[in-house]
Amino acid sequence: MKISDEESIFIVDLPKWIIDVFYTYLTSELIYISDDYPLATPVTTFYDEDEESIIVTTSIAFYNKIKCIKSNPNVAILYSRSGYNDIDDEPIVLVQGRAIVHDKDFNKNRDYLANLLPKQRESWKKTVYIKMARELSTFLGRILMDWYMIRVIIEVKPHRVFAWHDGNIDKSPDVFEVI
Amino acid sequence: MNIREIIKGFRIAVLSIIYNGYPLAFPIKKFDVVNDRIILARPKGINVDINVNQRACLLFHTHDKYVKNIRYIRIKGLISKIDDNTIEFTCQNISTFKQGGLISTIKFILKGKRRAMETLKKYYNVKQL
Repeated sequence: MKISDEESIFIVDLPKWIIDVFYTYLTSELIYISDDYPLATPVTTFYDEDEESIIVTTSIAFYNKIKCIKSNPNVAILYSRSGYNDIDDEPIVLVQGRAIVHDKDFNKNRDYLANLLPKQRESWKKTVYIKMARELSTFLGRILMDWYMIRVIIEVKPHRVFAWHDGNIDKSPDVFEVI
Repeated sequence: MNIREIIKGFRIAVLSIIYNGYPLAFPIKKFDVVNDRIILARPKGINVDINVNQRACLLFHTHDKYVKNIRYIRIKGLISKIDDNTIEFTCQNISTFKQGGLISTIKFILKGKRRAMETLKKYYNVKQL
């Protein structure tokens, strides 16, 4: 697919500056397909460097999103908000990929997320989410938010990435096909 | 429904469309409301065919540095007009979320708990949290 006149670059590993975006942008937008409409929702993503996957997690209470993604796993994640990180430029990165929904074993998901968070690169984002995890694990947090902590994991393997290093979408993006 | 009031204060609109079977989305900083339709500056670097009547979504969202005080507006709609410089978006359905305040927090918790229990029962054959 072409969205610009630039040729795609076929690569095995994404450039470091794109991985930095995955690690540090506090929030992004997940776009999935529902009844032939694209639906965007704000999310936080984490990066699993071992699997080279972007991880989105959602409470079981928001099942409509999960149902749509199971029905059509073609999704996109847009990183367009560069605030609260140490990146000098303000890159914009759009990732397209196929999503895998992990919802067979919620205990396994909880353990996976508990292990993934400490493995995130040091950043303000990591600080915020460690604080949030601590709040949720207090007695009050566990009583009130037990339902919120039953997490489904949505794993997205990037296969096409459109990237604007300087954040100027009036320019053609770099296009990477991950092989 | 006053669209201008609804999206007041947001600095970025994220426009999503479907292109070649995948969602395609981009942030747009220049937008305005005319006759309850949202007019967006068309990004020059995104060279795709966008068609009139194409299904689309606009998302506006904001939060603070602790990812608290979350507020978002999601609008489903159609691309109703397009030229070299602008994209006109007609709204069909609006959903909103605003975090904060005791009442809305209690509502969020109760609704979430109920929906989680319904989902577990219906799709996972689990009887309780």
